[in-house]
Amino acid sequence: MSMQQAQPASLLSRLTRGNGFWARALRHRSFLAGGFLSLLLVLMAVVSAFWTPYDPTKMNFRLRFAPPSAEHWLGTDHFGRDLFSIILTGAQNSILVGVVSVAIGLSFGVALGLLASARRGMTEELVMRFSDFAFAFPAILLAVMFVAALGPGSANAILAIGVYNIPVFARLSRGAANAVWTREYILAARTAGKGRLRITIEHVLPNILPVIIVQATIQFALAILAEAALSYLGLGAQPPAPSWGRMLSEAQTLIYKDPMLAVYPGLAIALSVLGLNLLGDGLRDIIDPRLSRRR
Amino acid sequence: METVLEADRLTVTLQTAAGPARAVRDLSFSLQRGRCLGIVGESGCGKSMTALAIMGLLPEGAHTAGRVLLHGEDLLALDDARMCAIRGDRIAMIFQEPMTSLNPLHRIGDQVGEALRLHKRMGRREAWEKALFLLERVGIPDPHRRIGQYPHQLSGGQRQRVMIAMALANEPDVLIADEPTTALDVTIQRQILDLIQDLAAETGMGLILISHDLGVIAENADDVLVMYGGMVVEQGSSEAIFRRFAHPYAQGLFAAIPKLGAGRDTRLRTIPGTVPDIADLPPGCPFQNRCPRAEAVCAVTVPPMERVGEGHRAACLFLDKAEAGA
Amino acid sequence: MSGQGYARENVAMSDRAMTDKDVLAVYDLHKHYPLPRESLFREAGRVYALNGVDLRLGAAGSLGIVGESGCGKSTLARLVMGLEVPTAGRVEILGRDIAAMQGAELRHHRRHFQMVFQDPFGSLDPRQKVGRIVAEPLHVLGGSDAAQRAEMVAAVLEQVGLRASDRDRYPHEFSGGQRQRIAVARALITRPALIVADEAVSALDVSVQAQVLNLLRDLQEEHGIAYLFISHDLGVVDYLCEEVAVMYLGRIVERAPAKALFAAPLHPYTRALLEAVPRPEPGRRARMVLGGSVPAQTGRGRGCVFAGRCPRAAARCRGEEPPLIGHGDGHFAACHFPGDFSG
Repeated sequence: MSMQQAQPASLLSRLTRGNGFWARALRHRSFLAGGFLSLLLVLMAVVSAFWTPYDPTKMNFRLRFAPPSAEHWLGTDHFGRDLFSIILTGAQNSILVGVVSVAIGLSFGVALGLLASARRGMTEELVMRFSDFAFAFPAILLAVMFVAALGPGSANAILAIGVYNIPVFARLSRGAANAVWTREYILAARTAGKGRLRITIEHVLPNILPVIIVQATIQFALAILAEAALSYLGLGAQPPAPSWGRMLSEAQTLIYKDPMLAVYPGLAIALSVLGLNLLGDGLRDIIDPRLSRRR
Repeated sequence: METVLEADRLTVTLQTAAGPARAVRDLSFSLQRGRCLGIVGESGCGKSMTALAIMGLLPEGAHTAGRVLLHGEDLLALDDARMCAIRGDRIAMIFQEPMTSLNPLHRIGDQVGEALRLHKRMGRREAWEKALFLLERVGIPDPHRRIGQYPHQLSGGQRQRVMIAMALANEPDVLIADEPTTALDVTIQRQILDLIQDLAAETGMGLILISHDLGVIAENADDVLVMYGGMVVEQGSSEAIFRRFAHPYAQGLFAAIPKLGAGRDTRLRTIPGTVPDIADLPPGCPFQNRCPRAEAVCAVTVPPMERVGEGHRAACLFLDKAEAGA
Repeated sequence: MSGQGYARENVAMSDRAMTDKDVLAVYDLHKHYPLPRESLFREAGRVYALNGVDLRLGAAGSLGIVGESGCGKSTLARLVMGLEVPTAGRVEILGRDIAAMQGAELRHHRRHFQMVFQDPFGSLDPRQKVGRIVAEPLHVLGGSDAAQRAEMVAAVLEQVGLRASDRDRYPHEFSGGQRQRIAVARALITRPALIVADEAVSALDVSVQAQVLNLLRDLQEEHGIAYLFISHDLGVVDYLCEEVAVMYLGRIVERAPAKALFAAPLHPYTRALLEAVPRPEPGRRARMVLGGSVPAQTGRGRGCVFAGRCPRAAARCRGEEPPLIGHGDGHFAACHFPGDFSG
């Protein structure tokens, strides 16, 4: 049947054939879309680090609320700053928040989860009760409490989001690690005389890594959202540092005068979060087809 | 004798990541009332796919060709609703793993009675009464107590008995048992197989017994299909086949079994290589690359079924030679 | 504990002198697991997995352990491998009590006893290459550099019928039979005196199983390894083992050279097991069918463990536990009315 349908193999069809990681990835539409959007986010951050059309902090009071034009692609804001440049530079802030807060949550959380799984008993109880405790607070409330205690600012906001990520990763990695500990290759490692620490590093961690990577992309998206919320409340990035969340809050009072001031940062946040979520979902499907939810 | 189920050149094509795979090719058999048809083969030979095709439970994207006739009605041509009415009523199936085949959240009595309420429109109480009778019939000890329990409170053998009770609820014409005792201990396996045989004799239903174990097939089947790479390679009465295997694969499979009592003085003959992947079968005979008798022609010709004795056929181009060597 | 009296009776079975030539010696081994407490006022239940097992296995010998699920054969394997600590009794490997050793001492002793597991898909870490998997027991030992290890891996892979170049591939690239060869290679690499195989060929297709069985036999001849071979398949045990022990509810009920055991079993349970094995022969057989199923391991009654299912159980069997006693030629059975199944 398939013989008759076979066409001259193009590069794409050759790449997407078979069952390897990249072949499956290239066939997965939402993964491709998510990858594209996420790549765009990174690209914006990288480009803006070296070049922006205008200085994103430079005000020009003669050109306030300018509509989109050849010079100012997205127009200007209430201080006459170039919106396109601010949006571009804001990506840096979002990525910084995502990377650092996920790194904090991932390193501490995974370590705790692995510890709980390797030791079981009291250790596991303690770690899990700690995460239950942390989960009992709504995420944003926890962050607000944290920042209120330490004072507003980008660094503290990132720290707060990172701390919130710890129990998420602790829970996830403990569950995944517990499943790995029941496998026979762990038994084989024990009969070889390996200790719990060594087994955790050599066998457990590599086997739970895919799940953690998937979760990391999702948490990345949530971190961007959380930072936007904190900045919107004035607890995150402080002026004049460009931040999508703060752009939104500043646009609030001007929403009837120039609604586009709110639309651009909102769109940027929405597309980044969407992209990262699609990427994470796609990765989940591609790494382990059994975990995928039917759609 | 009355034929209840007939397969005519049944072919199943699956969609796999590696492309279309012919899981079953040109399979034909007929099953009479009260008889047991055994299907034997190793993993990936197509025996379970045959069962799923008959039940209309093939995975998504699977393609069928040929016909499966239940009392002359082609099951492959039926729509979903019609097939649902037949499944669990005229044809029932029991599986290998009795733990995962039962719903852990429902009481035994409700699960056994479900088929009755669904197909016979029985009321809850009536179904419960019938379920009690069925549990008693399949030899569940203390059925009055067991009927109100949950699957995890039963042993593996008892769970398989419950599965059998469920399958028998509507007195089906055909019962398909796919490795029904593989997860059970030998002494329990004996009990379950005896039970299935007794029930088949009692109700006159046709039985399809699928197993990887030549011993189980030899002791329970009247007629046997030996499958390899999606094809029937040998077919005949159990007596004839186990008296003299004709196909080199069947001969090799038999020789590879450690026989009780043979001890350490003998050495097992092995079949070189491994079980083939159905997505990657060679043209010609599926057994060619492991066969001691293969010649160039085997790579291009799919061997037809040839008669080797009374009601005994095999698909090999070199049958005479094969038998001379046996 | 009834195990005490049981142990005294066992003096009879050690007619084979207790020498330090024994690779494995198991003395009156017990293992009980606590059950989770169901009620505050009732004592927590226990699972009696092993209730007094004695074994001895000489160099290059092969002992098969057969029995149905719940007989304690897998628990025995885990205790012998030092993966769990016995409730009572001890396990000696090459004359040394493994429960008494700790840390580096035990790690180094482990080179002498290795294990092959049942599931060829679960016993190899899917994220490691074959070379690393096979070398795993060496890593703990130390004292060898990477080049030496690579050489040993290559040699051992070839011994089990794989190619040296296979070390750079991942487990999923191999079939079930090949994976089990990899598992055997891993067990073989330290040149152990004992390999414990727990259902090592049960998950394999018949045609592939025969290849692995022949491999195990050849390796034993070449290297003089002793096997503790645990299986539910009597045919497989008969093919591979000189001696066989039949277990039921945590006890050995019969033990004999394989030939004698399969030709003339003395214990009614062994007999029932043998009868239950379906044979690929034409025609149907009349046979003894065993009623009921293996009882739960949570209770410990008086008398013979098999009395509840035994067709010839008498009053004595329910009151008095039969000891494992010798019937000549290394044939032991724990039954008040052994042998003679003609009547």
